Amino acid sequence: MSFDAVIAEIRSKLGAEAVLTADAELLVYECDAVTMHRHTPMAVVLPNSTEEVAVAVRACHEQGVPYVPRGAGTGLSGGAVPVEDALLIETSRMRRVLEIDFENRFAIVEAGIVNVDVSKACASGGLHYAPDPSSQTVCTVGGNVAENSGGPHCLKYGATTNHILAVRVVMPDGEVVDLGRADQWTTGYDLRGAFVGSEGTLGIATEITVRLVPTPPAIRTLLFPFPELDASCEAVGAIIRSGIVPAALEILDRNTIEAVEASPTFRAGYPTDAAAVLLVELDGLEAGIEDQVDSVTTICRQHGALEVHRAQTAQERAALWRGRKGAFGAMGRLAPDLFVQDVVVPRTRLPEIIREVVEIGARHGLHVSNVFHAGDGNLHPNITYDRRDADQVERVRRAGKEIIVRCVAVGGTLSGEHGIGLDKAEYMTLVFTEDDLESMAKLREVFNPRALCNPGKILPSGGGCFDRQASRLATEDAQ
Amino acid sequence: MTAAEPSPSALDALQAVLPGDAVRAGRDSDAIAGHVPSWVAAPPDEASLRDVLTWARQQQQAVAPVGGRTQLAIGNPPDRLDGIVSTQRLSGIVDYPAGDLTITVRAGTTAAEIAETVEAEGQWSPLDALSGDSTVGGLLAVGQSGPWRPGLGALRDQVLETRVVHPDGRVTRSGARVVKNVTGYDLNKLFIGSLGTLGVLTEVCLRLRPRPEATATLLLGTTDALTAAEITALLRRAGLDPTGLAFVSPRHDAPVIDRPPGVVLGLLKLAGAAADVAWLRDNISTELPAGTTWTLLEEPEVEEPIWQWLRVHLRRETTLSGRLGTLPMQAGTLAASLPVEVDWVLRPWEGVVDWYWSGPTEQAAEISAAIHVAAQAHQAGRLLIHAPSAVKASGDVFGERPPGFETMRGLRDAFDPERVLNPGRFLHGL
Repeated sequence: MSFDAVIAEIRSKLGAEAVLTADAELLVYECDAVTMHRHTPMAVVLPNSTEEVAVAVRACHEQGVPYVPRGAGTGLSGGAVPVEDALLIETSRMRRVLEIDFENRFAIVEAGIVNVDVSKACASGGLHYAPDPSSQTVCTVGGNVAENSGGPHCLKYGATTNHILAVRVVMPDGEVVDLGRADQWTTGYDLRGAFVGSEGTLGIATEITVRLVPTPPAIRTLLFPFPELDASCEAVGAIIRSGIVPAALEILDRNTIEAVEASPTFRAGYPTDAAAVLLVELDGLEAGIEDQVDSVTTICRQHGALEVHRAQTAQERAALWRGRKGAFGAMGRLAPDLFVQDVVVPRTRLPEIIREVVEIGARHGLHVSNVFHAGDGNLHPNITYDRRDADQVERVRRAGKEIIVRCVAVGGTLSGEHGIGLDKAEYMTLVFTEDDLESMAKLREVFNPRALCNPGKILPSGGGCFDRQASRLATEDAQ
Repeated sequence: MTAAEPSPSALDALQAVLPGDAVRAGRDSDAIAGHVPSWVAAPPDEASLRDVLTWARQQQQAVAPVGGRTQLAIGNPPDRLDGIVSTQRLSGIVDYPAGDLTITVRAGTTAAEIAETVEAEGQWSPLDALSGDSTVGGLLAVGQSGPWRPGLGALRDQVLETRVVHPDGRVTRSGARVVKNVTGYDLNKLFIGSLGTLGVLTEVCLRLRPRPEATATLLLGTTDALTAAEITALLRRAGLDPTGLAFVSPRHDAPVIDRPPGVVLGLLKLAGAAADVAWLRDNISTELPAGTTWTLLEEPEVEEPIWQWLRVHLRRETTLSGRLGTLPMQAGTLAASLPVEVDWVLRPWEGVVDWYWSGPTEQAAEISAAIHVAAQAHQAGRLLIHAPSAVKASGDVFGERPPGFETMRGLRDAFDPERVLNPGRFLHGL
């Protein structure tokens, strides 16, 4: 393989400035939002269009050079970090809205558009794009497609995969293919469905047709402080069981509240004497919304909520959400490094698992902050640590694995919205058999037979018959 | 008719693989598109289903998986058919933690049983099947949603976990029994709508939703498909989203009192909190264009039968029938452009038009061609469901090859290289 030939080919077609190669420029690309995994790419390509992405991919394909797609680099699983010398193809220059069809409720956008800009572009028509990861003011829709990103509102509206109608993909051989249709008609296998959440290993999404949903006329945002973390989890179960489908049900524990309230940027006015706060958002028609507010308030009081804060204005609503969406950022003040889990369990197992997480953290002498999508059973135990302390790193690693093992034991799984990437590939065998992984490997191999497109992600390496791509790479190297 | 020669040797060999009562010789009534299978197996558990498939692969037998046999008209005629594997004995609830709003069932469980089970807990099944006899495995294999898709969501979005037996003998699981999951590739999406060509579903976990506090149905009377489209546009612009909306062309036998000739019947389902349903009902009735009549059905005993009737109406067998799919705001003009002798059910919210024609077989090709032209003018996807064998054989029932077809072929080669499962029935020889 020849990197120089690939870079020369891309520069001849896209111009010299479309490829970054200076060390100083490449340094910012050495990791995504998980700083634990680092590898500086050989070069970064910044294409402006589908055709330019295809030029880069074809050049890599012809020369046998591995490449890694990247959006804004906000991913939380190391998915946009190379595992070996590779080219990075970043879609950040592709951020146009190509079409909005208000009547049919879809928009076609380029992959590099920032998530929140899609909703801004269609707000005048009373529509919005529902998936709202916490990083939505920075992260790209292309990255969301790769990771099948969630967000607080996917409790009611579903995750990214439920909102992607079609994807224009540059396949690993450089061919451009449209998967899915704006009208949701499917002929043959649902390749669009398999592509969403494939973490950039099946090709590069360049243009995306997203479903738009009506912006609800009535929104109520409520905050319930609880004297016990357990009680807040029990209240969530009771709300779900009551038949109400809130737009969001989020819990922040005491450690998270303290981190948020100590942050000048993210301070939200949460009560610092509470063991947990439950953030509830209800939306829908004006007609029935107050009945829902009353029901949720009654349930929370029955479960020991100390009081209810109700956002009266858009500013107050934004403040309540600022603390939630800024929680990860706020934790950055606590310690140099942050280990984020993304486990998910059946919702009825939430109270016991939260107790266990707290217990595991205490047993390893670690500072664990819980902020999570309680309505979905999706936990984010965040462990703050200092990577210069080898003993602490080892305890973080052990605690992390214990949490995963406990969640899997109650029927849960590794990741609800962050993806597997590099970060959790080694744990895949805890939830899947070798045969299960073999099916996944078959899918990857059909799309990406030479394993040049984002190699080394999702499936564990070493051992197992699903690890065909690793062995093939080794063979190619030997040749 | 191209019935396979009975093959006693295959039947004998299979009887050595399976428990005695689980396999029998095929009969005429087992036929799929005129192909009578030599053998029919109904494995009592997943392990014996795996044994049948691995045996079939070794013996180069062509196998059609079946559930409730309610949707066998969908697909091209098989290239070959040696045996049928029924999932009907793989039935029952595996796990129903009602507080999680999820249910795990074996693939042969019927839509009716699932609906009954979850309704007892105040929840709604997402299957919305046209027939209660359809099994969950069959519904997912075909992947078509019912008339309440606008409210319930598409079937593909309700599946959380699947277990599948592949022809190579692997039994695999993908997903998990949780409502949010990105752990590994989403293979569930591949199996849904794959017509059983990648493996046979044995177990499925579905997402449930709470049964709404109130429901109501507005029966609409309007003049034609274009007015139906106008009604749809008004509702969409006003944000008055229904749980289901279907318009039925005038020749129908719906059990409604007020049925003047030449009138298009509309069924509009509302569901949600009582106050929301009342508000929607009042606002929709004032938004309707002049000339549209409406009747409100609020009691379950009058509301349920009309939707039950629609489901039967949607699945009826005529000389020719099919389904077209386009954008919501084009679906009305698509229905309006069909030949006048063709009946239709327009579901504009989903952009789906089901069409039906009965008449002499020799005219079927001409009608089918006219529908093809209308579909092309609207860039509509098409599926031919019922047709005389000559018409089915003259083209592919799934329409043109979609983009990504070579990747689809690659998947079929990877999961079923010998074409054990449903050879010829899926699109373009997959």
